[in-house]
Amino acid sequence: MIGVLLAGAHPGQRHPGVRDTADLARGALLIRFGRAFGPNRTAHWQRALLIAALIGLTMQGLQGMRWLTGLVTDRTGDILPIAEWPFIVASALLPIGGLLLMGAGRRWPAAGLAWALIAVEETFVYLMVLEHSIPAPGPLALATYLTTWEKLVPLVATVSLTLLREPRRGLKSLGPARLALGFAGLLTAFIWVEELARFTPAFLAGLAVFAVTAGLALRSATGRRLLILLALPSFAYMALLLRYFDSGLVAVVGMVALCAVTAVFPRQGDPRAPEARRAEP
Amino acid sequence: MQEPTFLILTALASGPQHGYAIITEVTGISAGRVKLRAGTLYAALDRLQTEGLIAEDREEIVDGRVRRYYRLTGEGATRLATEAERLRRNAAEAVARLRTGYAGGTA
Repeated sequence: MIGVLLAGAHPGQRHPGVRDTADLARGALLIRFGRAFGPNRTAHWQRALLIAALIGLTMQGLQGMRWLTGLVTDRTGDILPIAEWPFIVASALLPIGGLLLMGAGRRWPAAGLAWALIAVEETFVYLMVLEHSIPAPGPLALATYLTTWEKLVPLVATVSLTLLREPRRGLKSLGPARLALGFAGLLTAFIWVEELARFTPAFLAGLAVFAVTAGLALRSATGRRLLILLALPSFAYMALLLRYFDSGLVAVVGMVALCAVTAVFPRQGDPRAPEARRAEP
Repeated sequence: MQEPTFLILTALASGPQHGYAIITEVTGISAGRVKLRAGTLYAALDRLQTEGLIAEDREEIVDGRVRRYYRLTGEGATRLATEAERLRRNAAEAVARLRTGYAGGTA
């Protein structure tokens, strides 16, 4: 496209004219929305839901690991009853297992673990309510995390994995494997944002990983797209932790925005018109 | 089929072309009446690719920049031929009626 603009430029012209600029902006919008709402929209939205599932499980896994770390190091001094430990361990391991199975292309086992995650968390909340009907610090503070956001995210992951074929499409569309570190680093940094005030080693380590991988990711179009995708749930989660917005609103807007951006900005190289290409000799 | 689409497919009917060549071909075919801008061209090329009417042919590096060539697909050639035939019939009908009606009405 730049070559076309240069070829049509007048001698000495350094910038496109107003009409060319408006035409480029209009063309870009047509291309983006044509893909998200055009003939092959189903494939783009399916990929978007699988990426939402991927990000959802990763966030759940990181959150579970955070709880687990708190449980082991006992920083807060609020020791949970031993009977609740399995729930914490399960909430950390089930999403990680789901991610691994998703990466291996095992749709039904991955969906099974996602369903199990919902069952574990629902049971945990139920037990919390039964056991601690009187507000108390510690366990109830933990239970307050299991609000709408924490219910919606695994629900999206579970429904996506249950309904959609080839879960690896989400991984492939997200970007090359080397960007996975940036992915985890960014989420870790934002999920552990609460540690910011304390400047704990955990937060600083997450921030360092994020800085390095974000720098690497910015070098490619796929990496920049990945950063935009990950920034949405990360900032939504941060806003939730800082209590700027209602949990339900953040959850719905965050997930819808994530899917919409994924569908409108498909990764370069994502199949665009498989039906048409198959028809080609 | 809109006129710019028809002209782009027509430009590709004689062989693969890159973006700027398509623009100059379209200007030539339409005798200077239709001048495609870059944004309009690439939005149309993207849509036509999605519809399977054209495909990427090859890429060349010219002056350090990628120059991408597009070609007409079999489906694209069929659609263009159908549209050309429809326009030919309509034009022939219009000419025939004009000859009859205009000559009869004013003579």
